[in-house]
Amino acid sequence: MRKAFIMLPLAAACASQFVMAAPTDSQRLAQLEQELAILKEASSYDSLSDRMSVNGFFTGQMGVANNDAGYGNRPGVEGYTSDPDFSQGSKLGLQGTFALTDQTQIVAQLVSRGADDWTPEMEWAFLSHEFDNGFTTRIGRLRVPLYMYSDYLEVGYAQPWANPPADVYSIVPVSSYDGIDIIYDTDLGDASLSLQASYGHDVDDAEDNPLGVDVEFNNTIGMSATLSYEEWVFRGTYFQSELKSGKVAIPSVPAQPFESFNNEKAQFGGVGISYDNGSFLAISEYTISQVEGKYSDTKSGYITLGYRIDAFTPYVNYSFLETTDNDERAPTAADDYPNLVGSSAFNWERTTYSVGSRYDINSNLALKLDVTYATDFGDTHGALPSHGTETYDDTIVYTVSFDAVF
Amino acid sequence: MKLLAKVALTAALMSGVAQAGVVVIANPTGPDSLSKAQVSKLYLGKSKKLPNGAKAEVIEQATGSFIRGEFHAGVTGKSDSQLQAYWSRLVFTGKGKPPKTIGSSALIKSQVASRANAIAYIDSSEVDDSVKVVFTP
Repeated sequence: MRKAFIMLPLAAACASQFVMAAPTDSQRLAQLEQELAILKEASSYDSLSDRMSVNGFFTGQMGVANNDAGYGNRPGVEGYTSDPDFSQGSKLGLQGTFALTDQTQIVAQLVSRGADDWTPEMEWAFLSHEFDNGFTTRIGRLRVPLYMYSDYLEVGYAQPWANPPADVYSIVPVSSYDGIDIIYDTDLGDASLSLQASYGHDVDDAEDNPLGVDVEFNNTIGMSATLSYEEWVFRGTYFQSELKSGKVAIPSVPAQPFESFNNEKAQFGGVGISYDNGSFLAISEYTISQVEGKYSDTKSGYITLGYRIDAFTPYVNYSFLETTDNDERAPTAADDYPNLVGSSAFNWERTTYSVGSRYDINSNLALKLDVTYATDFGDTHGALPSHGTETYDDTIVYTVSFDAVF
Repeated sequence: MKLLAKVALTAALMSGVAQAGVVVIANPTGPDSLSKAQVSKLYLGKSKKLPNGAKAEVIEQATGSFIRGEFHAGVTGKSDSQLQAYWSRLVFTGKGKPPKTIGSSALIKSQVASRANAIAYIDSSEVDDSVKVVFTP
C-alpha cells in the first residue's frame, strides 16, 4: 500500500511527461530532418564553403640575449639584444584559398611582422592549375624554395624549432619572388618524387639588408627535387640569380670592400635530409652560396635531433656558418679597398648550439622554449651587426614562442 | 553478489561491443579492399584518387575524438598535433587541404552510404549493410 502510494505520483508524472512529449517529438523529428538536410548540403563537395577557405597562423615571440651582440635571423641585421624584444619574431599570417574549378585555384597569403611594424606584406599570391598528368603550374608571387622549410618558413607551428637555424636560413635575403614555377609530382613505387623548376625576380629592400641599398635579384632560375620515402625525405636544390644594386652604404663601415652589384652572378646549392618516425626526428641541411666579386661566399649547415615524449618534443641543434672567400677581401697595398674593417664586415665565421623544446598545448597551439649559444667567431664579427668598435666573443639568446594555426 | 557479477559482465560485454575497434568503410559500389598504405596516403592527401581512378571523398572524425586517435595511431602514425602541423605545411603553401570533418559516426555512415567515392572510418560495431568494410587496421 505504501509502495503504491509512492508509485502513483511517479506514474502520473511519467504519464504527463509522455503526453507533453508526444507532439514535441514529431516537431523535433521534423527539425532534425531539416538540420540533416542542411548538414548534407554543407558537406556536399561543391558548396561555397568548400571552394573558399580562410586559414591563419600566428607567432608571438619574445627574445632576449645576455649581451648586445644582436644575434638574429639575418647576417648583419640587428637581432636580439639584452633588451627583451617582442617584435622581431612575432607575426600574423592570413591566407585565402579560392578554388575556381577542381583543378584551378587562387591562393593569397598576407603576413604582418612585428619587425616591420605589422605592415602586411603579400608573401604568396598565385594562380595555380593542376593538370591530369601530375604537372602543376603556378604564376604570381611565390616562395623561393631554397630550403626544406622555405615553403612554410613563417608558419612556426609547422616547425620543430622556435626559429629555423639562422646560420643556414639567413644566407639568402629574399624569401619570395614574382614569377612562375612548374611542379611535377610522381610516384616511384612506394616513394614519391616532386620536381620543381622556378623562374622570376625580386627586390630586397634596403631596410631589410645590411648593405643599405635595394638589391635586385634578376633572372632568378632554379630547380629542386624532393624524394619522400616512408619516414625519409631527401632534397636537393640549385638556384642562380643576377644581382644589381645602387651604391652600397653600410653606415658602420666607412670604406666598403665593394661599391655595388652590376649583374654579378649569385649561385646557391643545398642538400637536405630528414627522418621522422613519429617519435624520433632528425633534420639536416648543407648549403653553399657564391657571389661573383667581393660579396661573401658561404658554406653552412645544421643538424637537429628531436624526440617526442607525449606533448613535448625536446631538440638539440648544431649549426655553423663561414665565408669561403676571405682571401678575396684580404687587404693588400694594391687593393682598391684596403680598409680592414670594411673587408672583415663580410668575413663571417660562427658555430651555434641550440637546445629547446616544443610543447603542444593543444592541437593548434604550441609553446617553444629555446636557448641558443653562438661562438667561435674567429677573426670575424660572427655575421653579427657591427656596433662601432665593440666586438663580442659569443652570445646567448633565450627565446619563448607561442605558435598557433587556425 | 551474483547480480553484481552479471552486471559487471554485461557492462564488460557492452563496452566490448561499443569499442570493438576501428574499421575503414566505403560505399557498397566502392573499392573492395584498400591496403594500409593506400588508406594512409588518402588520409594524408598524398593520393587523391581511389584505385578505380575516381576522386576520393575522404571523411575524418572530429579532432580530439577517441576514434580519430585510434585510427591515426594504427594507420598514419600521427597524433592530432602532428596532423595539424602536417596539414599546415600543405595548407599554407596552397598544396592541399585536410579531409572534411564530420563529428558523428551516424552521419558519416549515411554520407558513405549515399556517396560512391566516399571513404571513412567508424567503429566496427556501427557497421551495417549500407556500407562495406575495406580495411581493418
